[in-house]
Amino acid sequence: MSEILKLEGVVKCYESLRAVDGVTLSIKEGTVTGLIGPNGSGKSTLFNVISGLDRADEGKIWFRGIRIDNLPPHKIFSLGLVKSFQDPRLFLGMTVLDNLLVPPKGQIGENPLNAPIHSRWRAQEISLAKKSSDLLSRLLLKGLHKTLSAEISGGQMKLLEMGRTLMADPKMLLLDEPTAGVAPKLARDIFERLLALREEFNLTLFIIEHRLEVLFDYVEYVYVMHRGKVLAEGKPEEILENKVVAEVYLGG
Amino acid sequence: MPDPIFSAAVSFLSYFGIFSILSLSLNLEYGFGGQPNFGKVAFYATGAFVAGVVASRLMPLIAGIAPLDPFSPEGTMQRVAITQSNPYAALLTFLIALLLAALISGAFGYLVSYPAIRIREEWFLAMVLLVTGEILRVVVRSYPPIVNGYNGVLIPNPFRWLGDADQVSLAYMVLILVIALGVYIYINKLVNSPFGRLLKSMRDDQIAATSLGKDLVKVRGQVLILGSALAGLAGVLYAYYSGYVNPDDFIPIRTFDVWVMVVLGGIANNRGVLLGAAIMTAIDRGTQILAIQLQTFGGIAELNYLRYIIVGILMLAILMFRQKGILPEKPVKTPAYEVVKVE
Ligand SMILES: Nc1ncnc2c1ncn2[C@@H]1O[C@H](COP(=O)(O)OP(=O)(O)OP(=O)(O)O)[C@@H](O)[C@H]1O
Ligand SMILES: [Mg+2]
Repeated sequence: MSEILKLEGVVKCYESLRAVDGVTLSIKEGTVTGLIGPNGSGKSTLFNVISGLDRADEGKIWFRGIRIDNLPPHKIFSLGLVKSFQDPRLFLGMTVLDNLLVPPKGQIGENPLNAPIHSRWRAQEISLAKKSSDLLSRLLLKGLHKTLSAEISGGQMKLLEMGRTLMADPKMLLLDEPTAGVAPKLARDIFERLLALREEFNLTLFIIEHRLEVLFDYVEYVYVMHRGKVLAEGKPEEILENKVVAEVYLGG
Repeated sequence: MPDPIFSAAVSFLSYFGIFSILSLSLNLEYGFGGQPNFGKVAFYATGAFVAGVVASRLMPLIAGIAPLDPFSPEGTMQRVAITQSNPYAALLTFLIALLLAALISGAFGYLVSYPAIRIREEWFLAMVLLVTGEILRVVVRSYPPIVNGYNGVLIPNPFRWLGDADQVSLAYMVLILVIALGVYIYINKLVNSPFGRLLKSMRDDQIAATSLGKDLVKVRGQVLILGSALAGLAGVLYAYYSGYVNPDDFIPIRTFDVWVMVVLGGIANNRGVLLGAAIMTAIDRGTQILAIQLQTFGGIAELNYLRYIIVGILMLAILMFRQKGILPEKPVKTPAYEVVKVE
């Protein structure tokens, strides 16, 4: 299996705080990897840096062999690396369906010269709508497509946020706490579905998750962050037995 | 003897058409795209200046006559004579003015916003555009070669060859309304599309939109080109309507009026915006006519203030009771909604 994402000595500072402090890691294509660590250990910051929303102060990042640490977020997206947000950032003035229809790449009707001539993009729109329809029922959002995304529940927002990333035909997903705020039973369900998708599309998943009992049943490899650094890495069972990790989690 | 009701109706509908185009274009930029264009007047003025230049310089050439000094009384008479006798030259000049104004205003909109759209904070763009409008007005009013500085330049109506004054204004009104209708249909088609979704996603959350692959610098540029080009069209229509290009018509408050139309009628709702334009036109024309009436009867009230008071009260009422405007926003209408069904 080849390497899809590689980080070398990545640093991100907020004034004097080294939120990400020299992270080196590597993720193989088609795997499911977890990223855990106490609150404030720098997990979300690391995802923001990888996806280009924040610029690394030091270090290098490669995605499928391409240096991405200098690319703007929309270019990184177009390479197939897509991130979801810990706190959903939906387009709140738009319906659930319109939220899902924003991410797909290569939409003919996004060009203002094509947009007014509906026949140019109608067929593409219909096929994207079919895909959304399918996803809506998988995400238990069926029947809500005409609802404004501001008006759905917190858990549903989380699901829609994830659905949006899936509409982008990603090669790799960075999911920031995909099950936060959803019912425990649904949390397992979400992981089941993610794994099924991985099989289907050869997706690589990198997942931040606080529900270790769920996460560890699904991931092949885990990175543990603490104060901006990688404290430990390994297979789930190795991490569970790691005394330092237990201490960090219990000690806060 | 002109019928006052006829003239009032023609004037109302002509202004309504012009204001509709302006407010629809701001709605495209702000209502859909979230770009606060506080310099609408700059592109409206650009259109009017282009009309002034084209009518005063190009028309004699189109008519095949040696042009006289465009700002001299003889030059003015020459223009009037051409529009009275040569429908072809009059209308072709008008058409060229429309096309050039759209091109130049669009390009100008892109140029002045070029640095500002690279900054995520959209209020920077708002300020740059606000200042642009005033700079343009001051430059054009103090630099005579363009439209004769603050003296302005007379441009005769392209339908002058019809003879009868009522027929001329009626024909021109119809032309304005046809163009406004065309703009309305165009914008409706433009925004009920993936491009409309793209604009709204930029408006609602720039960070989410970029991380979902949208090149917002490009999109901002596109929306400002389109919005400015349309404002340029409105500027040409206004210049020919008033028959005179006067830089001092284009003061910052013009931008504010357009904002009121959009906020009043319904942000991101094109029909609402037309309603807003109609209401503002009614207030504008109504107070104007009232002022003239009162003046003939020796009235003392300064009616401009009445207009500001009415507009102010309306805005307060909207902000208190209907923040989304009279007609609220609707989902982007594409065939997707015919595919995904409620069950
Ligand atoms: N934009 C910012 N400006 C300043 N400090 C920030 C910013 N974003 C994050 N931080 C700080 O960086 C540190 C790491 O935050 P981060 O959100 O990455 O943690 P996390 O591991 O995702 O935590 P959690 O599990 O609570 O989501 C925290 O101390 C946080 O306060
Ligand atoms: Mg976090």
